[in-house]
Amino acid sequence: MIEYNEQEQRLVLKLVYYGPALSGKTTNLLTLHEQLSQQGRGELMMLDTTNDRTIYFDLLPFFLVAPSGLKIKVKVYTVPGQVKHDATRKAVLQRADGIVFVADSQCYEAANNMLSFENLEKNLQFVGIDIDQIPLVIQFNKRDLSAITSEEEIRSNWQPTGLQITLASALQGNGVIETFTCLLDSVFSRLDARFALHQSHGLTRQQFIAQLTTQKNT
Amino acid sequence: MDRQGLNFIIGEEKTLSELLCPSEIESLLKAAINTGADFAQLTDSASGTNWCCPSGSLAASTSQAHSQPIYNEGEQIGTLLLTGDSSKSINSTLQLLVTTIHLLIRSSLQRQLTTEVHTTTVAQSYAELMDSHKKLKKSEQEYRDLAASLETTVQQRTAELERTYMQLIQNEKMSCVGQLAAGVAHEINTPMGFITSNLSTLQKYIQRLLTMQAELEQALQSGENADHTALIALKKQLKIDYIREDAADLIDQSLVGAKRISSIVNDLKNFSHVDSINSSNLDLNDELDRTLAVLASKLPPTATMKKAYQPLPRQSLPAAAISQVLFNILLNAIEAGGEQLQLILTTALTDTQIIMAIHDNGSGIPDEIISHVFEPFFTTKDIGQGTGMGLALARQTIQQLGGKLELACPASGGTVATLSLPLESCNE
Repeated sequence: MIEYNEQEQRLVLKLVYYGPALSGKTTNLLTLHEQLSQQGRGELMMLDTTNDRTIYFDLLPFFLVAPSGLKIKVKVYTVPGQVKHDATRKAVLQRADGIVFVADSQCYEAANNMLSFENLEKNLQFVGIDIDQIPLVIQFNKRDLSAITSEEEIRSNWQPTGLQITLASALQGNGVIETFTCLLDSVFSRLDARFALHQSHGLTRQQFIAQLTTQKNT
Repeated sequence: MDRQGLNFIIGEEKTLSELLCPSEIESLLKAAINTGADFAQLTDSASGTNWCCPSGSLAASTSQAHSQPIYNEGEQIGTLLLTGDSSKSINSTLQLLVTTIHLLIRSSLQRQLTTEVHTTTVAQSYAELMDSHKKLKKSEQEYRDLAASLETTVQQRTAELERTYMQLIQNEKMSCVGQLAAGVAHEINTPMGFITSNLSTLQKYIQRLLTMQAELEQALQSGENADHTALIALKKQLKIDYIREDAADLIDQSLVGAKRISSIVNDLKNFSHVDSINSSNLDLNDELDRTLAVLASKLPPTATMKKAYQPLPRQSLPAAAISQVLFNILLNAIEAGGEQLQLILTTALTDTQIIMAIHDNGSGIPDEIISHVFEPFFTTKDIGQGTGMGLALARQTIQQLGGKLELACPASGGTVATLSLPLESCNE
């Protein structure tokens, strides 16, 4: 999936925030945009929205250069959550290198979470990505609300899947960078295995994550 | 899945030349010159392309050069360079231009991304549509094949059904034969019984007559010496006088019995029309009587019967089939009437048809089943007692002959079976 141009010494990664409608995918990106240093990243691009609902996607690009000179572009996308935009979701999901599944913690959203996750499984298969291979983190968002599924329940439901679970309240700015870090960690493992980032390019896991998660000076 | 449809990638890396169009760059650079710069140049980092104003390369100039990187997605993709005398005004122009170029890049990228995602989803939807179209076509073909083979299958099944139906009709006929056989056996057994008994009595009589005869012959040979007294005593002992009276009676009775058996056999023969398998000229009044005759054993001794026959013209009809129809109707009527059976048999002739009505005094047919009585396999009899095919076949037979068979329960009671057949002359 990873776009790698050896001649240009260039690597483009695609990370996707997936999940049901109104679960807070765009809010995650807004929070990253707000909290992370402007150094080494582009502006948040929000394609047309109607009434705060994403209809195309949002894009937050990052750029870093490894000590070897390898340029690494990391593009973080959201997909539209509404059922009717499935074609857009498929288009955005193509060639993804990592996924954050943003679930809505509110109890009554449990069914929507399941439906959206099934949709993710179906679309990954459609675009030819093996769900067992791709780095995938599940974020339970909106922890600040009441009437939410308890952490124990979430863990007992999702731990058996072997997926990494994070908790967040994106609107409050909590857990967003942690989720992103968690994903980057998995993504680095895959990248390193394939491109020997550490050995050949002198880029360590810590550097990779730190460069992409540098916070603004407050 | 058609992977061809997945060649569109959203957010491919863009160079500066792909994000800005030459006319935009040109007017920006011109604006820089207008605000006092000597020379303006934009470089695309990826391709090394330079856009300059005024055109040509940077001449050896005494003026100061100021440059700023141009970024997209956090990565430098170009450089803007301005030269001019006034360092201050050049710098502010440079800042303004860089901001403008970044805004242009951003809106250009936004537009391109929107277009890309739009194109991709349209292409994808198209691919999916084509895919489902292909599937539809395939299933249409399957249905067509199925439809084609369906006809053959239906033909096979119909043939099977017809065979089964013929078998059923045969079964029904056999069932009639079975009932008839039982009735006829009884009918024949009664006269046969007394004929046998009479014959054995006659055998004893003949024995006694032969004994008398022997004594008489001996007396004849002894001539005058015969013992008349002994002979008279023997004649009395052997009850010869009684034999004289009784033997005639016995023979008469037996002859009557034999005649009855012969008449039963005759009825049966006529009823079954063993002589004529095909259509023959029938008098339906006779057919009715013949059928009644073979059903005689089923009639209770107290039964009363009223016949109101009109003379009917002979009709060419399949005799065996007609017999079976009448048998079924009459048997139903007889069974309905029970011990106090009263049957009214009417035949009538109109200009166009022959009408036969058989009216019994049974309890009639309940409303809820009257519409079912002509359905195949419908029977109110116990399992094994009736095939449920009798009336169904009867109606089918009559309908095939262009006639009608109907059942009605008049308010006066009982059931009337009305059978109408078109007159031959009207049939043609």
